Amino acid sequence: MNHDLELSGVEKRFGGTTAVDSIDWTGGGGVIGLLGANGAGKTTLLKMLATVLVPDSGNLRLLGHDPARADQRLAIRRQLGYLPQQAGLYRGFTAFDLVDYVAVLKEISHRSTRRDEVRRVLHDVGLEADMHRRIRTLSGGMQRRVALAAALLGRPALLVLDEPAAGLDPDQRLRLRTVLSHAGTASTVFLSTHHTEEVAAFCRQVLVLDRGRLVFDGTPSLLAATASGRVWVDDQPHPAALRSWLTSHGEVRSIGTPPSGAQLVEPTLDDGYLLLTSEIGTPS
Amino acid sequence: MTTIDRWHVPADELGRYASGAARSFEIASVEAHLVACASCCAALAVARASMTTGDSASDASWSRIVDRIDQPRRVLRMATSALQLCLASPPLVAATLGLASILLVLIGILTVVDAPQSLPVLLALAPLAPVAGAVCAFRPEADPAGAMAPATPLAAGRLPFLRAMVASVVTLVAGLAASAVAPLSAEVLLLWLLPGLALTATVLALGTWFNPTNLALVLAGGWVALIVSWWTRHRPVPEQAALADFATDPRAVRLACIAIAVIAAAICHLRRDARPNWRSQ
Repeated sequence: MNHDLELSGVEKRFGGTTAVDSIDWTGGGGVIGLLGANGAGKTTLLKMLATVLVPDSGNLRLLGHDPARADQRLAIRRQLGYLPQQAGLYRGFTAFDLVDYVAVLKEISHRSTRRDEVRRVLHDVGLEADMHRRIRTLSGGMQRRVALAAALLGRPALLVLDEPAAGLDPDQRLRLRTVLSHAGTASTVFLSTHHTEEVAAFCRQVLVLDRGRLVFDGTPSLLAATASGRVWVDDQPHPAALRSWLTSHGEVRSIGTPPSGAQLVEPTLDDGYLLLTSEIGTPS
Repeated sequence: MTTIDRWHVPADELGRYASGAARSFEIASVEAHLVACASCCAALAVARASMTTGDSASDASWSRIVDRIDQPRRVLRMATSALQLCLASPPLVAATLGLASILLVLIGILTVVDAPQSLPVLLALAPLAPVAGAVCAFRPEADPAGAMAPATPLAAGRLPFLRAMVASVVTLVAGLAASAVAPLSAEVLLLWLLPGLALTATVLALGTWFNPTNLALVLAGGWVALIVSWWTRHRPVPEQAALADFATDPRAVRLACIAIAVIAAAICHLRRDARPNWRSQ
């Protein structure tokens, strides 16, 4: 089993709020998706995995190193690619110059090697035609891809991506899946997302975070299977349903304990995720 | 870069590099490190020597000689690249030049106006310019890579710190030049310059524990309050009398400022890797 990421009782608090609450988890290798509602603690957890924040308590080891120790933190950063939720890139640089600058920060000092690497990552994210445009003239999705390209520099052993698909159109999302799936064959790619279809499409493993706690760890199909026999469609919402919503087919899809005679349907990853988070929020 | 002085190239990677079997990316990484690490250069020379046959001993000696000859050039390259990295921040360069200009204008106006309030205003504001320069360097916007920078080997640790020092020094030098041109008396010059140095060094040192922006605001508030309190007790202010009163023992005050700056510099050096992320959050 891959132990690139080892978390033991990891906690992070901001004032009186516990953002990440005593997480124990070990894993790595391939693409791992992190699902959770807004405020569930995904970004805080990702910042800790990116060595930007240190846990208040518990032990964290990344790629076999302890990020709390300065020398080991540096060793991790040499093998790390990080895409924050809001990259905040300087808008006066061109895409090429910005990624080139990040390559310098990543200690790729040999000029021609660095430039080849910059062109490679910009090509991977589909920005080869726009690499000499200034960041301020690029669309939000393109700016996101510039940041993603910078994260991919140097084929890092650990890629930590906070909502990499945000702002991307369907074509760009497909390209992103290809790039990350490819990266996942040799590295650990840990990404957060709101989109369960992203997780279903290319994540080997999925974690669900709810109010700072890890409430699920398994494969996407296992998460979908948790809703097996608990999803049905009807022409109106049922009072016993935990969640109900109108589908594009004009029928009401519900999750929870189905009433007798309900028309059960095959659960999706969305159903599994919604059922899991709804049940946690429901007093027993 | 001094950030890479504790890590060394693993023996197997160095061996691949020496034999020409390293991948292109490994080559870049190893070369980046060799520029700054004499120990790895020596290990590389040994690795190369062990691979050669025949006159391997003379090759190894030759490598050591070349290494010794190259050392000053490497140091120069390191210094140049560190300065280039410091300057590769247009927002910080703009902020530093802005602060230096404000200080120049302030000194110019106060010299020309020559009002009783000129001295207290100068003493209250001029030492805060280098402090503001240092704080700007710790803002997340100061790095073109924004929030990505803290997770990179170079920008995460000492680069913001180095930039803070460069911004402060540029501002201090601008103030020094303006004071010389104005001209201000040596006593007045030292009265703003040394507290400016001490305040900036204190922000940098205590910034290894606390948020530098909040810290600077507290120190600046304290400094302005001190000057205002002194001024309200001595209005109108004949310059020489005021100077004598402000520091009953000016020499002791100067030495205290220098001592604070030296102690702060030592703390900065000892705690340079203490925080995972130097930026103000």
